[in-house]
Amino acid sequence: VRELQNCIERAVALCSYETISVEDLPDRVRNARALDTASDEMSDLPRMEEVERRYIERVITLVGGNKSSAARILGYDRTTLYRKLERYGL
Amino acid sequence: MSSARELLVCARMQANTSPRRAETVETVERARRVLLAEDDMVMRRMLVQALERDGFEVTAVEDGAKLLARIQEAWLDPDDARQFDLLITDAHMPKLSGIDVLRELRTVDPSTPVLVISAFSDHEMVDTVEDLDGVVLDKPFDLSDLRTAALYYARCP
Repeated sequence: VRELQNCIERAVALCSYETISVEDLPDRVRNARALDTASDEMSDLPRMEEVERRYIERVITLVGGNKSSAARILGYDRTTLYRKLERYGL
Repeated sequence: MSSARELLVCARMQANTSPRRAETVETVERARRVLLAEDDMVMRRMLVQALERDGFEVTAVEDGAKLLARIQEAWLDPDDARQFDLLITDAHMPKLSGIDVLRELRTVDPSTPVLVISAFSDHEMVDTVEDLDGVVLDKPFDLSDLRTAALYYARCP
């Protein structure tokens, strides 16, 4: 509520006419609907982190669990690979 | 990352003078692959034709959701994993915007070059794209600028 109040007060102070228009609102507010839409569209697709987890899992399986080979194929150094394995619980 | 204009100049200079660049071209065995997202059909066809003339293998889609879906498909295809050399996307498209897709891609992929084309770029948008290691190319642009940028980024990610 305080954020909304600040936003309206700012728009009143800055607007050129008697009516507040969309242009008088901060970018964060103007873009809010687009972000919601993006979230809706995104919900139909897996997140890239999930895609990466599946990709790493497949490569690890293909190389029989050899981390060095997997890292080379994935294009990661070993530290990065271990960090990702830990992060994704693999 | 520098502005697209600065890099275009740099790319033109390197294309003319760098022996390493010539060597790279000779040793490339497969066509460089571009994934292109543009909702305007006429513009999409024009860009595909221009890129194909330069030898790129182009996959074109018409909105941001299809762009992200195609990126994910490439990651999960055993024969095709992550093999796009360059992404070119319109900033403003139905469903997901090009910037939404860039933001999502960067959660796992810091390096694939992404060129964002936009008719309505402002400082905030340019900052957002550059913070995500993308490059903005303002519409209207000369096709030769796009082709130069594509050649530069697809070969030197």
